[in-house]
Amino acid sequence: MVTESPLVRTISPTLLSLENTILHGWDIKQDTMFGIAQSLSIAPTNSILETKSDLLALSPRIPPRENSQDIDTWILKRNGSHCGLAT
Amino acid sequence: MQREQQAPLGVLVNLCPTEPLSLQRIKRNEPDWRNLVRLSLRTPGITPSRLYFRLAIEAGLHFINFTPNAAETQALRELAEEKRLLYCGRDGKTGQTFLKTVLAPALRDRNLRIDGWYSTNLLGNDDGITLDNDDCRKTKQHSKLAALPQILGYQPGGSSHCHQVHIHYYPPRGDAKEAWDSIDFTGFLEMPMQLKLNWLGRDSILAAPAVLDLVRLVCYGASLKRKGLLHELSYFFKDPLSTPQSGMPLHSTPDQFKKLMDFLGRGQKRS
Repeated sequence: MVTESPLVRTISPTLLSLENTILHGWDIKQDTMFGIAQSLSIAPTNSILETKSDLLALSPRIPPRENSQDIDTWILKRNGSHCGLAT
Repeated sequence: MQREQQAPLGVLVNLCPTEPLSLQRIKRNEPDWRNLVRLSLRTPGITPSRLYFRLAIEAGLHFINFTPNAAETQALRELAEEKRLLYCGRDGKTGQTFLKTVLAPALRDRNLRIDGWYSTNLLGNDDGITLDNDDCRKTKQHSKLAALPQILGYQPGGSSHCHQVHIHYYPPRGDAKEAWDSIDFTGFLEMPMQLKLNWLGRDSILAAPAVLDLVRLVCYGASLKRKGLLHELSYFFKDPLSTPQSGMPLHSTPDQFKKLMDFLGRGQKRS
């Protein structure tokens, strides 16, 4: 990472720490982080297997609106809630 | 999620698949982005990436466009700036274009004339499947072709045939991306020479840290009370965005890095 390089750390010690970063998002084709790591071969197989239980524990959140069928519906509902209309 | 976690700042990173070039042209007026109820993926000029940008603005999230998709229309840029939000893009620079934009300034500074630059890519992941579509591939090629003429100040060989970028979906490679570059250049006494490059990278391993860097740097930009385009982050992009205020987009990696370091130095001066 560029922001972890010694040069950047010297110049700018005030960057957000990685420990305080919360990641969210999903490759919808996979059910768990283990599935993603395996399907993309993003690390050597033994490294993925070593952390299998941790990776299996990471799974998608419930979407913001469970009944939304597509993004159009989601937008309409969101707009409805903005205008105080029933959704 | 932001509320649940009590996170003071939210950043949306657009990692959508490459969209077809033909869908990205705005033929007449832009859609009415302010009126959410009239927006639909079926409206001309509305693409998934633009919709993500619009929804990021709605949710008060800063926006990073890691894709080559033209998400940042003029109206959406203005809307983001109005809401005091930051955005930056486009198209993460992680492999072949990274090397190209390191080498081209070096060759230019040595006054070695580039007569031709032939680039080809093999990749076998989902990105490769998307780029197997002719219309989507054109979007990516457009992004990958932008840097060289800007850095050199001329079109290599004086013709578009002399700067080519090809992309091939080749499933056996998976995420292990391969790039080949064959560069023809001329030196002292008009002596023709060649350079061959073979890059064997890992797509996700190269992209993931750049995404994390960008998120941290956008948070840093927000701490400086910036709004609108964060052009200092051009270092991370193949096709960096610009505004009349920021001037022409920088493509040369060494120049972009200097700009990034100056930007980071501002925070130190402030503290």
